[in-house]
Amino acid sequence: MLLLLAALLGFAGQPASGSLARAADDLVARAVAGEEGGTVALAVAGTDGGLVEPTQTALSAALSRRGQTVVLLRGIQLADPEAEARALRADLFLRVRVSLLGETLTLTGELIPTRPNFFLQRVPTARPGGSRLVSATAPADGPALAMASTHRPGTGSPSLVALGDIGERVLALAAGAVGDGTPVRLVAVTQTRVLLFDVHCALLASRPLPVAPGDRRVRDPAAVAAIGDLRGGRIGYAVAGRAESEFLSASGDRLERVASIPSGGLAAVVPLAAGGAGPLFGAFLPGRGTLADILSRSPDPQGHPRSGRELFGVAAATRPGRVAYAALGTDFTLRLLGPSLEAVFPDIPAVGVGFALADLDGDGEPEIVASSATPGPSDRVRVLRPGDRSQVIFESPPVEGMIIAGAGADLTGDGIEDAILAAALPSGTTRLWLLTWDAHGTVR
Amino acid sequence: MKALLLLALIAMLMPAAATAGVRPRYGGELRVLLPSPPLEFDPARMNSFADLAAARATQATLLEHDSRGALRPGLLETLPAPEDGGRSYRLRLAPGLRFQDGEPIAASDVAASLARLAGPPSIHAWLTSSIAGAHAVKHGHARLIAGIEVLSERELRITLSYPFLDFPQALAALPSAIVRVDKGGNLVGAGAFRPGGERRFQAFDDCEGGRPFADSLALAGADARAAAPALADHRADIAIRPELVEGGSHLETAPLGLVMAIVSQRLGPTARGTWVALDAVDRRELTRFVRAPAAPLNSLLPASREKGAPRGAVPMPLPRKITLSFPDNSDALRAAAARIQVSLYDRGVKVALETTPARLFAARLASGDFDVALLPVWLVSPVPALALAQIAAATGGFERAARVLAQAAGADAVALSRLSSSLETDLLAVPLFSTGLRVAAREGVEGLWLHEDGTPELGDAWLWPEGSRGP
Repeated sequence: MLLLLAALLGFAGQPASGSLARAADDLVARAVAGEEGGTVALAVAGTDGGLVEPTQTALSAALSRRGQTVVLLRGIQLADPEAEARALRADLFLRVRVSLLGETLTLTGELIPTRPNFFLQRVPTARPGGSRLVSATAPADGPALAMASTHRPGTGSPSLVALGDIGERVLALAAGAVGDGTPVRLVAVTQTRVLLFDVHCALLASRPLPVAPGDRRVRDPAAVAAIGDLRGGRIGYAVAGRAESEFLSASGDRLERVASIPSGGLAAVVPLAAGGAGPLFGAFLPGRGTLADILSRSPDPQGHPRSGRELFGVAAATRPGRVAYAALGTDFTLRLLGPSLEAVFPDIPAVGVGFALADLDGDGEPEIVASSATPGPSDRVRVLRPGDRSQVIFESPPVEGMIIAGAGADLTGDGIEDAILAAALPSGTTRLWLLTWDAHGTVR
Repeated sequence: MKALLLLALIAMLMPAAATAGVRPRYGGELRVLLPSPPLEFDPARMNSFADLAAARATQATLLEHDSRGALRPGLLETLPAPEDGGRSYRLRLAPGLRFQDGEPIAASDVAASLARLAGPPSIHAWLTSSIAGAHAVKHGHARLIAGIEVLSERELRITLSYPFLDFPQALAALPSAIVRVDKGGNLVGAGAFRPGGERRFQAFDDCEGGRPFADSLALAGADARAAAPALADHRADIAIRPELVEGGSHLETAPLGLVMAIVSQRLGPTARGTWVALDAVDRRELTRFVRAPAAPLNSLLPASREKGAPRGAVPMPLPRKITLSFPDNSDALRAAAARIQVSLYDRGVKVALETTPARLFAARLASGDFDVALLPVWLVSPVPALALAQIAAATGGFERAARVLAQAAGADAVALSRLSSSLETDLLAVPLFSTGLRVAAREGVEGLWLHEDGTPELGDAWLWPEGSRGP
C-alpha cells in the first residue's frame, strides 16, 4: 500500500533503503509532530552525493504519510531555498543534510515556518516563528553504504568555490592537459603575460607577450586561449591588437614558443578554443577587442567573415555531445554549434561574456556555464541545459566583480567535468572560481 | 580651490558602474546634446564647455587623466619625469601614432602644435607660458618655442623658465591637444572621432587609445525643453544640461564653471567701493536661483580670506548707477545678475542689466568697455596654479597669466592663498559661485565617464543592442 501510494505520488523514482527510510521517518516524526496537514517545501543536500536523491524520496514519503503535501526544491530553486519556499506559499520549509559518519547514517534538519503571516506582511522576509533543529540517526545498512559510495553527478546542486586570486586582470582562460598524460593545467592570458597554473592556482610558468611593430592599442583589452592539438604545441593564444599570436608548449617551469603566426589581419588563423571536436580558428577584427564571424576547424588564411556579426568569444566542449562549440555575439546572444559548426539549438539570449561549455552532470551533453549580461556591481553564474528551450538549472548568489572568461575541464579529478571562471575585481586583480557538481566539490 | 579639487575627486569616483559579465560592444551612433552647439573646434581657441566637450571627442593630448583622476600617458609612451629640479622634461611619443588624416605624428609635430598654442591667435597661450621662449612666440617674434628641442623622430625635450612640477598637468589640459594644419589649412587632430560632416564625426580606427566603440558621433546643442523628450524618445543618447534632465542615469561634473564679477577701472574713484559692495552680496542667496549644481565661492581659494581683514571695513564711495554686462547664453548668469541688481539697489546703486552676444563678450571685456561684468570661466584644469593662471588670462590677458603662473608654480598652500587674494584685488574680481553640469544618459548607454575637466569620455561610451536585455 505504501509503495503504491509512493508510486502514485511519483516518489518511487529512487528506492529508499531500510535504514534510510527509518531515519527519514524518525526525522519527520520529530519535525512535524503536532503540525496539521499543510505544505512542506523540502531541500536536501549532502556530502555523499549518492544519498541525496534516496533521502529526498524517503523524506517525501514520510511527510506524505503524515498528511503533508511536499514540494521538492531542486536546481535553481536551491540558490535561495527559503525565499523559494515563501514564494511557493509553503507552510514549512524543511532543510535536511544527509551524511554518513563512519557507519552511522545521520539526517540533520532545520524546520523553518514560512506560512504567510498577516502581521508580517510588510516584512515578508521575516520568519513568523523561530526555526527548530531536528536530527535522526540510524546504523547504515548495506544499501545505504552502497548508495553513499556511488557517485551520482547531477544530484544536489552545483557549488561555486573560490580557487585563488591572480594579481592582474585575466583576459582569457583555457584548461586541459598540456602534454600527453599530464594533469590538467590552467592557462591565463593577461595584457602582458601568458601564465600557466596548476588546478590549485599555483603559478608554474609565465611568458611575456612579444612586442611587434604592428601592435595597436585596443580600447577593450581582449584575448583568446586554447589547449589542444595545435600545430605541434598544446597551448595557443592571441591578444586583440597584437600583431603576433603564438603556439606554445609547456616544459617544466617554462612556456616555449613552438610557432608564431601574424594575427593582425582578417584571416582565420588565431586559435580561439579547442575541445573534443578539435580546435577552432578565427580572427580579431583589426583594432577591436571583438572577433570576426570567421570560424574554421583548421587555420584558413583565405577565410572571410560569414556575416557582419561580431563575437565576444568562443567556447569548445571537451566532451562534445550535440553541442561541440558555442559562439557569443556582441548582442549577448549565444549560438550553440555542432561538430560541423552548424547551429543545433535556438540561440540563447542575455549570456554574459564569461562563459564555458562543460558536461557538469556527466550525461554526455555539455551544459552552458554563463555569467550574467545584466550591468551591475556583481555577477552571477548560471548553468543552462541546452535544448529547444534552454533551461536554467542553477543560478549562483552574487559573485564580486565581472566574470570575463571561462573554461571547462575535469579539475576535481573525478572523471566529471567542472568549469573554471575568471572574475575581474575592481582592484584590477582576478579571482578564479571553480564550479563543480561533484559530490565532494573539492579540487584533488 | 581645495573644495573644487575635493568635488572634482568625488565626481571622478562616481561614474563608470561596473558591468557584470558585460564587455563593451562596438557600433552605432552616439548622439549627444550639449548645453550649446560647439562653435570652436580649434583647441587653442575654444571657449565654452560645449567646445571643450567636442575637443575631448576629437582631439588627443600628450597626457590625460584616467577615470580615477590619475595622470596617464596619452600620445606619450610614458609619464615624463622632471629633470633638473623640474625645469625640463623629456617626452617620448608612443610608437605608431597617426593623425586622423593618416599622417604619422612626429616629435616635430608636437613642437609645432605647442608653438601654435603659444601663438598670437590662441586664447590659451598661458598654458605654454612656463616654457622658455614661449613669450617670443606669443608676441610674434619667433615661430617655434626655443625651449622645445626635437631630439629624434619620437623624442623632445622641453625646458622651462622656472621649475614647475605640475607642468605635465598643463600638457594634459585639452587646449594642449596635438594638432597639425594640413596643406588646405584644415586642422587635423588625433582623437577618437574625426570630422565627418556638420557636427558629425566618424570613429578614428588608429586613435592612440584604441578605436572608439561607437561608429559615429553627432553633437548638437539643446535647451532643457528639447533635451528631455529627445532622451526619452531615444532621439538622443546623452544630454548635458545645467538642470536635471529626467530619464536614464545621471553624472555630475565637478563645479569647474566659475562665475566672477569684474569691476572696471573706468568707474574711477567708485570702482573700489563697487568691488567691496559686490563682495558683500550673499553668494548663497545667488546660488538659490541657479538651476545648475552650484556652490558659493567666497574667494578663488577658499582659505585665502580667513587671514585677511574683511573688505569694506572703511566706507568707500559708490556709484549711483552702473551697467552690469554678461553674456547672453547663460540662464545662471541672468539669474545671478538679477539678484545682484536687487542687492546693490538696497545700497543705493541702480543697476542696469545688459546682455552681450557670447562670442563678442571676451572682446568687450578685453577692451574695457564695461562697468561691471559677470564673467563665466570653465576651468580646463582643477590644478590650482593652472586655474589661477586661467582666471588671470580671462581677465587680464597673457602677460598677467604668465606672471601668475610663474608665482604659483611651486607655491605652497599659503603662498597660493596670498596670490589668489592679491589677484582678486588687482583685477577687482569678486568670485561669486561655481557651477557644474548634469550629464544624463538614457538607459542602454554604458561606459560613460567624466574627465577631471568635466568633459565626457565619449570614446569609451557604448550602446546596448536593442532588445538584448533579458534574464
